[in-house]
Amino acid sequence: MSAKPTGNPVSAAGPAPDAAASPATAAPLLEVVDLCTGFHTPRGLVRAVDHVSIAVRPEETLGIVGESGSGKSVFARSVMGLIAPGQRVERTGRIMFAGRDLVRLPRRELRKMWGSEIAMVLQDPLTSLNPVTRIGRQISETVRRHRPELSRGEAEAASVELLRSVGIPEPAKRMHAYPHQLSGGMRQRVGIAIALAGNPRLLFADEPTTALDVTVQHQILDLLGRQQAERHMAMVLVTHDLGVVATRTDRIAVMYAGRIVETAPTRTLFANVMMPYTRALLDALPRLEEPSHTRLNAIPGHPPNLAVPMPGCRFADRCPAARRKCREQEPPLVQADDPEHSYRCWYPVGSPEYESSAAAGTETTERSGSDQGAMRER
Amino acid sequence: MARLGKSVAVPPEESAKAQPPARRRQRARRRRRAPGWLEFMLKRLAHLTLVLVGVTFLVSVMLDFLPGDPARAILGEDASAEQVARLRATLKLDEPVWVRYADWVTGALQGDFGTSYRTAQPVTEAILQRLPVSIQLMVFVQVLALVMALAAAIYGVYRPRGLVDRVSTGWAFAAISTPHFVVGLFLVFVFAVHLGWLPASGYRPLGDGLAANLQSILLPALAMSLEPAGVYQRLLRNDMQVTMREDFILAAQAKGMSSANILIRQALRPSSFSLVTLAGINTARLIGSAVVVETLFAIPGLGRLLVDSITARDFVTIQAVVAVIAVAYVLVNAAIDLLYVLLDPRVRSEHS
Repeated sequence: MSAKPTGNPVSAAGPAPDAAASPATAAPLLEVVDLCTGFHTPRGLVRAVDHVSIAVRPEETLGIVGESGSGKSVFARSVMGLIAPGQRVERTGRIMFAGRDLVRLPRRELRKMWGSEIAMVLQDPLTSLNPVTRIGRQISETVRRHRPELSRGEAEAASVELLRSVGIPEPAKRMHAYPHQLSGGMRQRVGIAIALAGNPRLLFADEPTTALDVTVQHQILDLLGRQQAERHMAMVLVTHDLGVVATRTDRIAVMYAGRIVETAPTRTLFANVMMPYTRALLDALPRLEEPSHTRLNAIPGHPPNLAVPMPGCRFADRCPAARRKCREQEPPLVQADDPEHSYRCWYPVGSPEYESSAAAGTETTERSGSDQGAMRER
Repeated sequence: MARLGKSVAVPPEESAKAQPPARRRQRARRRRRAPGWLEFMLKRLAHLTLVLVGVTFLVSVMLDFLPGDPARAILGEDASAEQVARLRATLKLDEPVWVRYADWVTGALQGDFGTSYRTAQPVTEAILQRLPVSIQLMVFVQVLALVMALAAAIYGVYRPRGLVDRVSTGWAFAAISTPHFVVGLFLVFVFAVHLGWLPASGYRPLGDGLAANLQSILLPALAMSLEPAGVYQRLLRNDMQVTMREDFILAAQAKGMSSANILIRQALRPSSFSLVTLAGINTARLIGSAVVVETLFAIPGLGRLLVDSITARDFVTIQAVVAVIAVAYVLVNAAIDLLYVLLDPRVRSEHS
């Protein structure tokens, strides 16, 4: 349980030379080193992604978990280099993909990789499909973009095939439908078909099921998993739902306020949570064994304002075990027992300090637990 | 259409059970066409009739509002009693207004709008001479304005706050706030007087050759198009900028589409609804309000006919020109409604 703080922050998923498992030994497909993404706003530079380092190996699924505003979506977009026009964005660090640094790649070259090397599925399938264009054209224009040698007819045939492969019944007929004529689940399947049209090696799925009914969520996640296996794709699944990533990822990175605060192989993470934030996220999930109407353990407070730099741990204000040190010095990423597992905490879950504070926090009133108790009351 | 939309959204297992797909599709299609279109056309026709009757009846009533004897008021103090009596007979001033109006409608339905007592020319003839000129001028103005606005707006969205964007925004405000005749005088000075490329005034019909016709219409069209071009550019640029923040634009980028494709094929159409509305309203407005430019460039258009007739209190002509312009308004607006349907498939489902 005890941490072994190494002097300098360890890149969370840097290639581990001594790891034995086969996916772990493969060279990473995507290696992000010290990525910072900042937006210039009237209130100053907002660092939505702050020194994030992470790697994705071929065919692996990485889950990125965090609340809204944690920087997880910005992370996915800034890895691809997708930025809305007119936004002033500052991006530093290294993003190595297939031997090239995407940060330094000219936009013209980067554009060539979109869709064909790295693709993305967005959250809301209604807004992410063009409302005035038949879905057939939305897919076939993508197919033709990546395989310009195809004729119009061939591209359409390939599009029908894509629709069939993502589980759309009567695909030839659906080609003529407009997005608003399809159900939410069908739309997201179309979104996935479009993302797969260029046969990418890496797929970002940015909250792909958040806008969908619970019953459809499973189907979509199953579809993504199946396509990933068939196409030997790597996938980054961005979500706020730990339940979604628990069974569908190889590794998980938990983000908070632009930082990775804990990362580990999925199994290890759930067996051995170190970071109080991850603990809090887990506690916030509803449990079947508890009686109905049990209050969920929501995390009190809000994520910090990223425009205002703060010393110390970014979770300190909301952490049940925060002490003076947490507010003054930011903890580095340190390795846990498992070399693939690292976290950012001075008093991790399991340490005597955490356990005593957590116990105190539930009973209210104690010196460090008092304000914490007050927050819980809210 | 709503039927079709619904049937697609139903999970396939359920709907497939209900009916064989082919028949279902046929029925849906028949349903979509017939009542929707018929209803649309009938509504438009009713609208057209209402507007026409209202506007032209008002002109008839206006005669009664002239102080004293309308015929005397029209002809002035110098007219002889005989002239006044003749005009009273022509205008049927001794009849009540609804009889006058019924007479006018009967004639108008047969294409006879009466004879102008200013020029002694049949009004139908006068309108038929001038309408093509006005329509040509209007089409040129619209095409020029739209081409300029589209180019400037799209490039401005492509490079926001870039040189082209800033210049075109400044130019748009300048163009919006400058009267047509100032622009016209300036253009005449530069292109006709200084450079001598184009004639300073006068209209050459198509019968004089295409080149001569185009040369004579280019300066007036340009003079009139700068203002609408500025308005269109502002409108389209802003709407497109909003569209560019939509998820489907991000998705189009992520799937690898080029900038040109994203701007023109993805963003332009969903951003063009307000532009289409405004351009439509302008179309009819341009026919009637081209007076200043028509006068400046000595172009025999409807605008001038209308103003000349108003000055001469030529109610026979006024009534006919007003009717023509009203028809243009209603027809253009109907065309815009159709255009919406083509532009946005979501409108199609709402229609029925």
